[in-house]
Amino acid sequence: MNEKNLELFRLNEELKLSQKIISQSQRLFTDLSDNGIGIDLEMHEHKIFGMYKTFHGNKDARGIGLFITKNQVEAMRGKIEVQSKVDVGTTFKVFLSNKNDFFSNKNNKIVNEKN
Amino acid sequence: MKKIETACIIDDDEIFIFATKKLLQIKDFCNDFLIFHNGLEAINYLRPLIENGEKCPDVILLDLNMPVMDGWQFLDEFITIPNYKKVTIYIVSSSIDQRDILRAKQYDCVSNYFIKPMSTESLNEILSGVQVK
Repeated sequence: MNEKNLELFRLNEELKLSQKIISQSQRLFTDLSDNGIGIDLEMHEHKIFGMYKTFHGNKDARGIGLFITKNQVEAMRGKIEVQSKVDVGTTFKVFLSNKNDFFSNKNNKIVNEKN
Repeated sequence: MKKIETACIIDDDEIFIFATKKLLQIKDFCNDFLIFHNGLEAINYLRPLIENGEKCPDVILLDLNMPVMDGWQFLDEFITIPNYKKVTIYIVSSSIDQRDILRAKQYDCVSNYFIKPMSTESLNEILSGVQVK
């Protein structure tokens, strides 16, 4: 196994987290980036948001966080995407639409249930 | 009765490994154990052994949900090794999903699918299966 894969964090480098927010009238885009060890998306892309899926063998990894995040984002009619490069870092892009947009949408399930 | 020389357990769950090892020891199932915590560790160790025809495990107990490289990815890698059929693979997973069970059947190197927890009955089945082979 590649020694770099075994490192849980890139200790030789300072951790950098950044968040970028673009807010439009009805929509909100946010990017969350780190410079961590990254996730091999070629291997794991299909299960990255899956329940109990972990990717680095960290002892305290539970495989729950991304699963819940995706569920909650989608419950708010949002979208979440991931970009990652091994040993470079990971970026999560979250797209949320405005609350007003949510309730005024005629195709919305809540409205449909009342009918 | 021929005893199994080496049994290999591929699982990331320490408690499962501990329990299965104890169970195998009580049953006097095999002489030696090989333990790997994910598919990648296992494939990196087993590939050269099988390719060079060296002493390799007779039985592999394979978990499905593991970090780094999961059970399916391990199987996909494993069937690219020449002479892989010498080794008998049993999937031992906590998944009761019918799709997983059907998918496992598609691999001809997988002999059976057991749902955790392992029972002595399933171990007996493994024992008789390996000896028939």
